[in-house]
Amino acid sequence: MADAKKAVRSLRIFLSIMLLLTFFSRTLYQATLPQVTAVSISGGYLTLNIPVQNPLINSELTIDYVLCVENLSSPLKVKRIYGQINQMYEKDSALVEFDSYRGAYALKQAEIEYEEAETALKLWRQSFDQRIRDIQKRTDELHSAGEASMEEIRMLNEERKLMEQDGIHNGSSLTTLETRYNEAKRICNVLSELSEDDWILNAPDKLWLTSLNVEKEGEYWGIEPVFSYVPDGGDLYVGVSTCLSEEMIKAAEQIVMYDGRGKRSAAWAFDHMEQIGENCLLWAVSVGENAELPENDLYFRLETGYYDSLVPLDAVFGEQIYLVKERDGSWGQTEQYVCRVDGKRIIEDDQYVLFETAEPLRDAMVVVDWDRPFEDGDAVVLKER
Amino acid sequence: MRKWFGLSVYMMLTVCACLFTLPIILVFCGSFMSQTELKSIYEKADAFVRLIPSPVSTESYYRLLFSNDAYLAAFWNSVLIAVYTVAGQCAVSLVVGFALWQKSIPGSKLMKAVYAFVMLLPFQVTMLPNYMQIRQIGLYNSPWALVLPGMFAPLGVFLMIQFMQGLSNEIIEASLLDTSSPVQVLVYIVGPNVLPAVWALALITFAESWNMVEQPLIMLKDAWRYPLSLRLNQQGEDLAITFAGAVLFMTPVYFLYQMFKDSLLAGIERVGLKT
Repeated sequence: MADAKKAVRSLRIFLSIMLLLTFFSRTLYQATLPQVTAVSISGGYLTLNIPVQNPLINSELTIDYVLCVENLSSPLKVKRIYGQINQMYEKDSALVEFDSYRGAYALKQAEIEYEEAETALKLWRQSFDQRIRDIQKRTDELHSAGEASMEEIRMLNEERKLMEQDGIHNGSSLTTLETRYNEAKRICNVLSELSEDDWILNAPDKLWLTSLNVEKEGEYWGIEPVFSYVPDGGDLYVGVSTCLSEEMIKAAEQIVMYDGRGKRSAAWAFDHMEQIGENCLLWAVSVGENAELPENDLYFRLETGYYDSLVPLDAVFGEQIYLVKERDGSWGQTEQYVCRVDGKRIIEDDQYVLFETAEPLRDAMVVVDWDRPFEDGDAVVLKER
Repeated sequence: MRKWFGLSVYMMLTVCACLFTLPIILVFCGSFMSQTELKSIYEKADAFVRLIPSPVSTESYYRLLFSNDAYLAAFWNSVLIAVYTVAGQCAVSLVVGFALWQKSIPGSKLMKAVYAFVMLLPFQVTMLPNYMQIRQIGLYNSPWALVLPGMFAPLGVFLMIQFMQGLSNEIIEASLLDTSSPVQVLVYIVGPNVLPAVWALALITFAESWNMVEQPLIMLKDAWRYPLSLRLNQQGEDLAITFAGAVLFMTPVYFLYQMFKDSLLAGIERVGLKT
């Protein structure tokens, strides 16, 4: 009985201590947690230096530009573009100086191609007409010879019919030759319009800066041209676009291969595309006169499965960042904890890093400072900057 | 010869007792060791088990109680579940036991057989039907998913019936004639007489509820609702916390045993005699 009384007393003391600790547990617990400062991944500017080297562009030109991410749902936009050293260009002002020698060379090549296409077409037509005349002459001769030549007459008629209907002669198609000729003529016209004086551009109706929009909608990256030339209704677009990762360049190349030049009414086809610099792509697309432009301008389809976000530089440790997330706490309330996210640095300046991750980081809180070390999964006290 | 036999039996029982209490002693001693020391003992295959901490450290208790509120939350979860289960089990067992003990109730024999049969079924057999029922009535992820099956466990009823066999039928019949209220008879006559069995049942049920692991693992989804028994299993590699947590985990059961050990022994003894 004495034991039972002692046990009751001990149990009371034990429960009282536990109750007391429980009352103060939250305060005591919070005091032991690391305090972290976190910022929301929402916006910022990224300054890049992209050396541009291209046959049509002066190889010494360096374009420095500022990417602005207002938030992740908005496109990356170029607000200002810096051209050559100490020279600032506002939107809609020109900044590209073309190499006139290479420009003239390009025009000459286009003219040669135009002449060759024209000659090929002319020769084909002459040969075609000659063959038609020969068939006509031989048919007349056979008719006069009598019924014994009826089989040959029938064969000649069939040959003539095929030539006139399908336009095929000597293994060449009239359609192919005409397409080559029209294309060469078009390119020649475009290039000749860009006269030598126009290589240094400042006229908004020639080659001018519109904007650089790197836009992501679902699985699509949209890239609007930086410099556009649209003579009377639209024919040739030239652009310099940022490529934010190697995967993007590969994806763009695949599209070129897939679409080819023949499907440009359904999708844009690239007349010219090449990578310039590590993260930059120069491209030119031509659109047929009656082609319908895609509603969302130009899109590269990307299926990399990664997301790019602009993260403050001091939030990235090597190839990882720490996000502050919420979970159920011990008493059912929500508590903050840190969650490590591995990723890849794409490009960065002295303030931000374009960080590629497997999960979207829209509006996520990323740790930029802390008062004591922590590990992945540790509960923390959040201190917003 | 007889003396030597008695001595050898005594020695053998002493060794058995030591073996049985060794884990508890190890846990108690380990709770005063540092994490490094515990790792050096338990994570090396060739390390020798030590009982004396060197140095004695209360760091694990500090970390358990002051730098982690999960333990306290789980402790009160366990307390609530156990208290509700014990209260419900005792009430249900007393009433049902009294009803089935009275031979005048039709089908009481069959019911007793059913209770005995259900009691013999292992937990793994009744687990799935229990789980499905709990989900159907919307109690999944709630403490009641653990309390209700515990309240209606057949062991208590069986224990009560066995214990009531020792009561005098004449007294009960006389009481019924006197009051004509079975409730009053249960409260004023049967209740006080079966109190040792009730305490024994309370202690057994408390220990069972306090120690359960599988049921909360199946019935609860949110980690913050987990009782201590389950939370202790999730301490991971932190041996110091686990040892200190295990000592505090055993404490209430030990005190309760000290409180009710006489009743427990008396209750089990009388039930055993009747059985």
